[in-house]
Amino acid sequence: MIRTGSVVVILAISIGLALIMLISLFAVNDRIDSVRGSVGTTITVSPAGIRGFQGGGELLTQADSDKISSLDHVTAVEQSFQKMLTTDTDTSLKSGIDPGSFGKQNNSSGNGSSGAGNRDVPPAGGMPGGASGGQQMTMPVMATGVAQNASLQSLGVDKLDITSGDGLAAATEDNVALVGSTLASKNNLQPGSTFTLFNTQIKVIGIFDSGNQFSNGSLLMPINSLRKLATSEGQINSLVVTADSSANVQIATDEIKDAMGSKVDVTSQLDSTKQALSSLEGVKSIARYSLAGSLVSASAILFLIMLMIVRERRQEIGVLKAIGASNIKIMKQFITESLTFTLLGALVGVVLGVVFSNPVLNMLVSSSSSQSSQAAQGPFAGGPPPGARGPGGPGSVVSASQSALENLNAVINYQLLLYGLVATILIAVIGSSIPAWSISKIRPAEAMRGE
Amino acid sequence: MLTVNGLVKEFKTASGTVHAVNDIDMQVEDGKFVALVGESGSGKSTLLSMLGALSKPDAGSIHVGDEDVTRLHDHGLIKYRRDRVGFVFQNYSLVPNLSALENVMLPMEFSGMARAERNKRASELLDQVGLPNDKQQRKPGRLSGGEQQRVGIARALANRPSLILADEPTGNLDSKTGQNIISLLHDLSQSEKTTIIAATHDLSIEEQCDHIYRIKDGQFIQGDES
Repeated sequence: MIRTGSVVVILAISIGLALIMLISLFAVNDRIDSVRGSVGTTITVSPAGIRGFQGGGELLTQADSDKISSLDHVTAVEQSFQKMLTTDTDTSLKSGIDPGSFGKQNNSSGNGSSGAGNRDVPPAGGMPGGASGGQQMTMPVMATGVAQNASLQSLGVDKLDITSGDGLAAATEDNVALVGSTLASKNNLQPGSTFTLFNTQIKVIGIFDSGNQFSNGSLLMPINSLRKLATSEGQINSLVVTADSSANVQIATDEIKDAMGSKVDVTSQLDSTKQALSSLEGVKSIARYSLAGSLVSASAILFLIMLMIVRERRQEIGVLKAIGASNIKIMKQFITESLTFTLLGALVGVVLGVVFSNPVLNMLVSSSSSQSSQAAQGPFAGGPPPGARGPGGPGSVVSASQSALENLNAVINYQLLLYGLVATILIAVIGSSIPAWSISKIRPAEAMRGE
Repeated sequence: MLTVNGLVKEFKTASGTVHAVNDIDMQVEDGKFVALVGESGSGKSTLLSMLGALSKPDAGSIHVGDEDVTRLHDHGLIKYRRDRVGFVFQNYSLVPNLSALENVMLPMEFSGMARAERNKRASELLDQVGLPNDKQQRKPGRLSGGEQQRVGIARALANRPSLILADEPTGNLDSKTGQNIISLLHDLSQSEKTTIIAATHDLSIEEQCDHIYRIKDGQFIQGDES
């Protein structure tokens, strides 16, 4: 009785541990899918080193766009063209963005060689529009040509609200523009207003608000219209590539890098979630190895226990064979005993699994979380405090990682219990059939002689 | 009729080969009570073991009726042990976690008999061997040696075998109980028309036997005598 109880307790611990790890594995897998899903499917391709428009590198071409379109995991490629309007001859618009103290500081330290009254290329170390000799500094106006309304990645925004007027028919060559709210306010523009761009009159068809001051100081036009006016036909500042699924964003990114080489910079939101995924993969890996370990140990324990029982009852097996028991009957008897042990163990194991799955998962997560935080911060750690969200910087990576690991709840469902039951039966059958089979093949007289 | 011809069994040991049974011939008619008498290690248990198909001879043949037991394969051997032979062991060899009644039911369960039928027959057999009703539900640990041996005999009779092999059936019993057991076996051979071969070194068995084979160093030292 004591031995049976001990066997059941040992099996219960192994099965409980296996169940906890199975539950953890499911919870982590769900979270990984969720994080991957939140990444979206877009990838931004820019000429290497220039982020598109501030000089250096070669702009992209239609051939580059076509090449990327043909890649396996790419479903769409959207071109965008950006033009910085820096002189009064470029546009009649005044910039909606205040240069701030930093811009003014740079302005006063500039040498003025770039000429008075223009917004052209800034002096070294200064911002565009640098002037000297008391000249007021002005910021450039960014014009972006887009091919579709859907993608706004080139503006660095996720969404765009049309606050008045209509949306942009991006595929046309009309001389129309959607103007950001800040730029519109500065220039008293409304839907129907006009302004000049490269000596051509442009009609404002709508005002947008992106929630981003920089974007709200810019304007959007059909890409072909802007390229024609800027005499930059065929030129592309950036491509917004859509991968066939969020799971394939990394593969598509690698494909683009392989196809384009060092000519381009390729970025996606996956970069910011890599740390989070790495932490989750860490937990998943621990759970997976622990699951395998606990299943193997449960099988080994049961195997050794059944081996011991079979050897102890060798004489009884001999007697049973002597009075007419078949080998199958004897094997069935031991497998039934083993199943009984294991199912009793599983019953207790499920209770252990239910009670301890969340604490163990939290322990795994906090261990993985602290490791990943240390790895992400490193010697130059910075960024916002934990919980704050903002673009860029290691702080945001840590935040994304922590966010992905927060509220990771272990949930037991029927599918899990079914897996557990199948594993339990397999453990019982494997653990008992080998010893039972080996003893059933022995002649009765040999079995009855004992050891 | 049980016919044994040139039966040989050898064991390899560190000190060489032991001829446990060495070229034995014997014939036993149906319904006879036969004793194999010899000292410990003379080969009588090994001979019984081969007669009951618990071990395989190295040479020779054993015919029970028309059937050559030495030529049977796994399934045939199981059937032979289950249906044609009943074994009585010196140490009773009952399954400790089953009651006396359940122990007797076991061979009938192996032969596929319905539960109610085997329950009834097991109870009748225990009555026949003299185990009182109130003890039939007891586990072997709560029965005396003589009572356990009675259960062992009832179990051997369960599937109405034509041959009962008893290996030192009185070995663990006092002389009075041993006499009772021998008498029981003798009566059964008469009433059930069952051939009984009992291995023993107890010479008091001689009075009740139809035949005695004396065995030494794996060989019969005299012919059969009555």
